[in-house]
Amino acid sequence: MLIRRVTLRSFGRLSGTFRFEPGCCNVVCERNEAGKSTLVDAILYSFYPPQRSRRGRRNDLHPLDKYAPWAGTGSYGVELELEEPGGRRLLLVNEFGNTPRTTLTDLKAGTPVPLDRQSFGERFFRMSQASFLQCFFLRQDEREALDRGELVQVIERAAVSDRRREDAPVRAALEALKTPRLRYDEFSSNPLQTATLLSRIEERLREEQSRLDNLEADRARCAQEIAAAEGLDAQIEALSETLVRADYECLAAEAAEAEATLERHARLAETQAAREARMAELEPYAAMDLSRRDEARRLHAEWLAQSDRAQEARRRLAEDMQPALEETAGKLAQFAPALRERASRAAVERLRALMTRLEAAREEVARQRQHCETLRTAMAAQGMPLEAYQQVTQKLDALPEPERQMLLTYHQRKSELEASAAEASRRAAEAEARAATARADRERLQGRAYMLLGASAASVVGAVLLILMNLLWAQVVAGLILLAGVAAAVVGLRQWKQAQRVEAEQRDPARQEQLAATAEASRLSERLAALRSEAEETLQRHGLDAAYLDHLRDLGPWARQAGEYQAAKQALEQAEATAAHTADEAWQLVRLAVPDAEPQGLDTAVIERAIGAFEQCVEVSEAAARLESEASRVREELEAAQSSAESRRAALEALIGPPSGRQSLSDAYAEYERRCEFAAEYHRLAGERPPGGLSTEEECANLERLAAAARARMAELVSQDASLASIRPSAPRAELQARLDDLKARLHDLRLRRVNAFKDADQAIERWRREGPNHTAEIARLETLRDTIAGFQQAAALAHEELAAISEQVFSRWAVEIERGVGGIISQITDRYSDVTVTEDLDVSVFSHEAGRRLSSRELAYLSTGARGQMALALRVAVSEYLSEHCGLLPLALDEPFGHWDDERFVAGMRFLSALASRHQVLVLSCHGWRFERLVQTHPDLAKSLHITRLENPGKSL
Amino acid sequence: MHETRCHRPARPPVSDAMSRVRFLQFSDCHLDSALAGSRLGFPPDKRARLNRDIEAALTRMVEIAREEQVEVVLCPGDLWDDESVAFTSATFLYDTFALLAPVPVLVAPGNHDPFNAFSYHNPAYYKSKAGRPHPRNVVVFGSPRLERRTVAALPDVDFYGCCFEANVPRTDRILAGVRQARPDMINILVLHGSRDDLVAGRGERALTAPFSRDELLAAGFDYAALGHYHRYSVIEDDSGRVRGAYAGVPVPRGLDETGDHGVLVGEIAEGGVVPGSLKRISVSPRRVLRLEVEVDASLLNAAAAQERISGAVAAAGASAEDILYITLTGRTHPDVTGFDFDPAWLDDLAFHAVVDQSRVEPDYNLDALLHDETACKRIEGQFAARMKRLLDEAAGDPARERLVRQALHLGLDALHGRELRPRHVC
Repeated sequence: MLIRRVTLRSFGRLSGTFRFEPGCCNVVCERNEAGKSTLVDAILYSFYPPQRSRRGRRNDLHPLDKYAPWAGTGSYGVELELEEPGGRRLLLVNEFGNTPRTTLTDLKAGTPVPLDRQSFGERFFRMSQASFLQCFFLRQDEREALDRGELVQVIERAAVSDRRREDAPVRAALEALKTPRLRYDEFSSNPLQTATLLSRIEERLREEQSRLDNLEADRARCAQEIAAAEGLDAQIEALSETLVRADYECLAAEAAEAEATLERHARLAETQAAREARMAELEPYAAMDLSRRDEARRLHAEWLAQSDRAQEARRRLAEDMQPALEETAGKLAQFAPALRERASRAAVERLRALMTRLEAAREEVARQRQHCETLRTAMAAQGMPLEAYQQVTQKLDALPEPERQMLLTYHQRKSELEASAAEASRRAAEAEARAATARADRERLQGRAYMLLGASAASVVGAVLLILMNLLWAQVVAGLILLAGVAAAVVGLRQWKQAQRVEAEQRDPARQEQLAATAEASRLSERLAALRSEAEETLQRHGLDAAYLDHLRDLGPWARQAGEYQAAKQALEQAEATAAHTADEAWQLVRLAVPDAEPQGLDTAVIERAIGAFEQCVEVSEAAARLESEASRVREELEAAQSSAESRRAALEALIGPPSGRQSLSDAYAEYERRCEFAAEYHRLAGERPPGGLSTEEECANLERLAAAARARMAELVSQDASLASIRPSAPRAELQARLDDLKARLHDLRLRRVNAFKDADQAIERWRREGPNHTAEIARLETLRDTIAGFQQAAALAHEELAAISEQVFSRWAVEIERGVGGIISQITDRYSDVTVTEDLDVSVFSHEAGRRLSSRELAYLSTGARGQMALALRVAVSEYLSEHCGLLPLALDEPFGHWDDERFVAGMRFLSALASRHQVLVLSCHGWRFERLVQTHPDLAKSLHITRLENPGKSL
Repeated sequence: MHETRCHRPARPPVSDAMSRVRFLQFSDCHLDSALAGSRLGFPPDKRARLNRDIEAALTRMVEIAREEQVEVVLCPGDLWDDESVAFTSATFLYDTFALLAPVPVLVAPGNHDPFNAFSYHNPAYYKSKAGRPHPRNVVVFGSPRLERRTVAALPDVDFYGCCFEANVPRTDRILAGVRQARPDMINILVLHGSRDDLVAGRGERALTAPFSRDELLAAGFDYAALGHYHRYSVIEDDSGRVRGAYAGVPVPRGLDETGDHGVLVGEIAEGGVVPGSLKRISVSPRRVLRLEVEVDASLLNAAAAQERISGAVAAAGASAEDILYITLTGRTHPDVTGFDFDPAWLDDLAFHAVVDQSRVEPDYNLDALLHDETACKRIEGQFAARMKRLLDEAAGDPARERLVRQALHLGLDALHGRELRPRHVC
């Protein structure tokens, strides 16, 4: 880190821009209080801006206040232009004052550089201000004040920090070994860390293994399926054996069938030859017309039938009919013609019915007669004037029905009307009585009411009068009277009301009822009068006197009995008439069979006799009729048969020709029939074909070959399995063939199932065989790769571990480095001391050539100030050198470092610093200007490496 | 092609009257193996060519069987890798067996070609896949327990064998307590298993179905055709007669399969292999060779390294058919972090060549770093000293040594600002 420029703005007494020369030892020579320390502090506080919160001693000025502008007020600041070892130029600007502010800018990029809430020194030097002061900014008053404890810590941190590796290649090596990256295109186009690579390999391995496992699982599953499928083999084998046997049986049936067909063909061939021979015999008859053969046959049959029929009819007539007819005719002649004429089944039934009716009628007559007699006897016993009644009833019966009814009911109606009228009158009387009673009550009540009201009025008057008397006792009495009067009035009013109520509730209803009853009685009386009038008019109209009504009245009670008697007499007359009529009707028939029968004496026996005669006659007549009818029919039949036979004969002769010589028609017909038979046979033979359609030699040859092939196949099967020879066809060939086809179908299905099951499983197994090795090979390859990369990773980790440990050790041996550094610096400054040792506590010991021994760190304290200062300077510069290798080359500021050094050591010291300036930016501040002027004169070579300037001219570069 | 006869001390001749069985034995073909994880890192096309080598070897095996007039072919397992075997490979193998007919072929499936529901050794599965059954002359031991099988062509011989059902190590001692059904006959065992009382020759094979020499001899078999180990070895009884043998791989493909390989042909009689009859017949011209080539700081680029390697390969007598695993040792210039060899040059070098650079170290002057006073004081020197101390502490622990050495070189690379990267096999 180089400070190229410092621009102060009212920082204490300093303002202006100060530039440093790189590669030279910059020396600022100024008098005291010229601002040398101010310049150093300006740089220091730019690197480490003081915080206001920092506590200090009470009387101390805060650094920010210490360098407040001497002139003017407000803010003041410092601007540093810095250059990093890599060449980056930074601008660090600090504004102090009330609002301190720090900014860092990359001058080339023009962009701010973040400080991450740290000071520039903490951020870029990675050490505290105290450590920085200990190592790089050596103040005049702090030359010997070395805070070893903190400094050791700073050195330790620098030594072990990853960032402060002394060797950039080691850092790179450690980085490379810590996270080695490898590139495998199959996993990424970019290099990947080994852990990532191994992870991806493991992932790929898992995928491959998973695929392989899936194939293995499928294989295992398919092994079971194939084993199961092989279970079908037994079924297939069994079915195959059955199929062979069925095939054999079917072949046997086929062969037998073919052979049977051939045999049948041979038989048919023989038959065919016989036929042809026969046809030759029948050739002469071939020309016969057979179309009318049936007709001839029919005619002949009919002729025969008719002839037989006529013959039969003739026989019956002669042998059966005629004798019977004669006998029947004799029987029938025994009956009277009239009887013969009328005798029929219906007449018989009629006669029976009449007999039954006659008996019933006569019984009815007897019963009615008895009933009449019974009634008359009863009426006589009761004293009924039957004759008078009869007379009356006769007249009454002559009247029209309405008038007769009216007369019959006259007395009854009259009685009813009179009763009703009397009742009405009675009710009217009762109502009048009630009304009178009610009126009396009303009047009574009204009387009371009048009386009470009058008394009340009087009392009132009396009371008034008494009151008018103005006497006490009169007034009291008046009051009493008045009260009484009021009471009387009240009672009177109540009486009046009650009278009114009686009027309304009793008298008026009674009155009304009376009126109603009276009106009804009047009405009834009028009806009664009208009834009387009507009856009189009726009697007068029919010439009857008034006594007739009395007779009716008197005979009224006998009406019922008289009616009954009359009805019985009518019934009796009716029954007698019926009996007479029935007897007459029966006599009409009976006299046909029993001529001497009389209607009067017609009794059941006679009728039954007549019935018997009728029946006999009827039977005989019917028999005769039947016989006659039968004979007539037979005659007709005979005629018809004869006629038909004759016509048939003629037709037959016309068809077959007349018989010759003595030949009968039957013989002629037989001859004709024989000829027809021959002709028919000829034609039949001519039209016949062998059954089965087996007509060609080719077909026979095919059948023979078929049979031979079947036998050969059977022999072949038997040669494989002798047990087949015993098999005989158990069913027709078609049925066996159907069975065979079914077996084949089932076997095909089984085989198909077997094949499909096998195929599906085998596909999986083949897939396992096809793809499995690829996965296995890939797994092997990946495992090899994984092992290689894992080994590589392990080796890299081991290398990293060892290398890091070495780096740690190297950098932990900072004491050695510093010891070497101190020794080197001491040797450049003085030759009095050598063999410097520095402990880890920064204790320095040297070998003193003058003392001839090693001086411990404690003994060094007894050296001169200058010598001690040289030791301290050497130590600090060695420490700064060591730290610079970790945190970069930082500017080294030495404020009056050679104050107590002699001239010789001064020159040596400056020479050392000049040499150091080639590595560090060295800034020396001194108030001994004359020393440097002399140095320039006496050591011009050394002066070339110095850049001496002053602060008195601001703006002038240092 | 070459033959290797097994030389044994002279023994009393076996009587001609005794029955004998001429046999051919091969196993551990590992057809269609994916060779996953192999440091040889075969690409797919070369793996395919290796498979064709195996198929050609099998075809040659048929010719040998006919020439040698063998009466039986014994295959103790690992004929293919079940997890990657192709249908064409398995059917090719069985078609090859069919060509041997009527010579019987006995197969004892191993852990890599186990007998299970979907194994081509399973007749049902094979038939389902191929549409036809196993050849009639093939007998496959399909039980995990030792079982006895006979073949019509050899009525006086009992064959014993068992199978693996999965690629899972078997820990049961199969031969413990085994007795033959017909001790007076020739009893031949076909077994895929590990002789666990002999480390040499085992290579990197894991133990499975273990047995010891004593167990094998006590079991009483006249001969045991063994599979699992990829190197040829024999088991002799106390009289010196061969009672069992590992034929090894017929076609080498792995780093542990250097040397000669082939099939075994011999004659079995009662009591063991007829002395002098056992011979190894090569069936493949391809070899696996391991070479070490020293590099130094003078080799500054791949071309120079290639030239040196080519010279070493030529000096080793490697042919264009061989498989080379070339390990570079030594120290290269520190700026040479690895040689990027031309793939075409590698292809021209051999059938397949791999250069392992993992053991190459950068030539940092460690002596100077460790002993120079000035260097000692520098971090570099101190680092080297520390790592040297760690190396000394890691003596006897190769893994730790490698780690420390790698850490040393990485640290020095890092201190010198060089790119850090692991050194690979390429």
